[in-house]
Amino acid sequence: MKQKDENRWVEDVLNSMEGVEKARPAEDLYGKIERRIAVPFTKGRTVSLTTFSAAAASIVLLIVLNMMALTGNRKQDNRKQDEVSSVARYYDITNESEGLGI
Amino acid sequence: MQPEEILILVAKGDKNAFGQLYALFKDKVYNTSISYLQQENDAEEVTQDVFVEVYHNAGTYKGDASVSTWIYRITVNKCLDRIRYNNRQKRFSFITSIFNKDTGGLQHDRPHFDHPGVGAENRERAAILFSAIRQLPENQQTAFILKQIEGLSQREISQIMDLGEKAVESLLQRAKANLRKILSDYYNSNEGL
Repeated sequence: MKQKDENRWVEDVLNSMEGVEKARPAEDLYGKIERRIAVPFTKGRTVSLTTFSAAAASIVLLIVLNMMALTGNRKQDNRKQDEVSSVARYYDITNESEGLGI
Repeated sequence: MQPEEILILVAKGDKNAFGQLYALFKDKVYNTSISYLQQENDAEEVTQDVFVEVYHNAGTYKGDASVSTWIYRITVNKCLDRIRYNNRQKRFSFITSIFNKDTGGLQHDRPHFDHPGVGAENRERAAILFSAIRQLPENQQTAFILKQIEGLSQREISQIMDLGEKAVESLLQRAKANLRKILSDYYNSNEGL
């Protein structure tokens, strides 16, 4: 009996949308759509000025940091080369005499 | 005038033709949207999105399916996109609620939904049905909504979903089987209602 009631209830719920009227949109919806299509169509998404500025600033910062890292490395290389040259001069080692490629 | 002829005029920028097309399809688009999204605001926004897309892309209509099928396809895709967006928002609000209790947590949960076309005698049962539909996988939801709520034929549904008729039939059977299970569990958890 309980199973029968359950089955009947389930079927009633499943069929509860049969013959139901269609939902209708609000009267002013067409006006809203007209206003939207009046705006010139741009394919893809429009990006706000704030987002665009933030993205541009990030790119500039990234380039500056990379340049700083590169110049820092170059200075370090030069310093290392100077140190090696000083040691070579101290011990009087040259390219010709020892062939060390300094 | 046939919808195909109206669409050709819309593609040429004819605003009157667009108005005619809107009048022909507004209820179908809105009814489908509200059945998926179960929120009037979301359904209105998606209906706007659908018609804006129809207006701008009328020239891309190839005529390989009816205008009705083409518009239903756009509607279904927009609804599924909106559901995914809402789910992402829900997940995000859940994560923020873990770190900040003041955000209120799950604000994006859909409330109890009453379909505007349902009469008073069926309102409670229809609300339970909509709650169960939300738990179905996307393609079963689509097949069930288009068949049971929109009243489309299996052939039309197969064209909209780009599937064979057999596949649609199988989706409908699985949707109904899943709904029966969900509803039985609900019935038993509420002690025979």
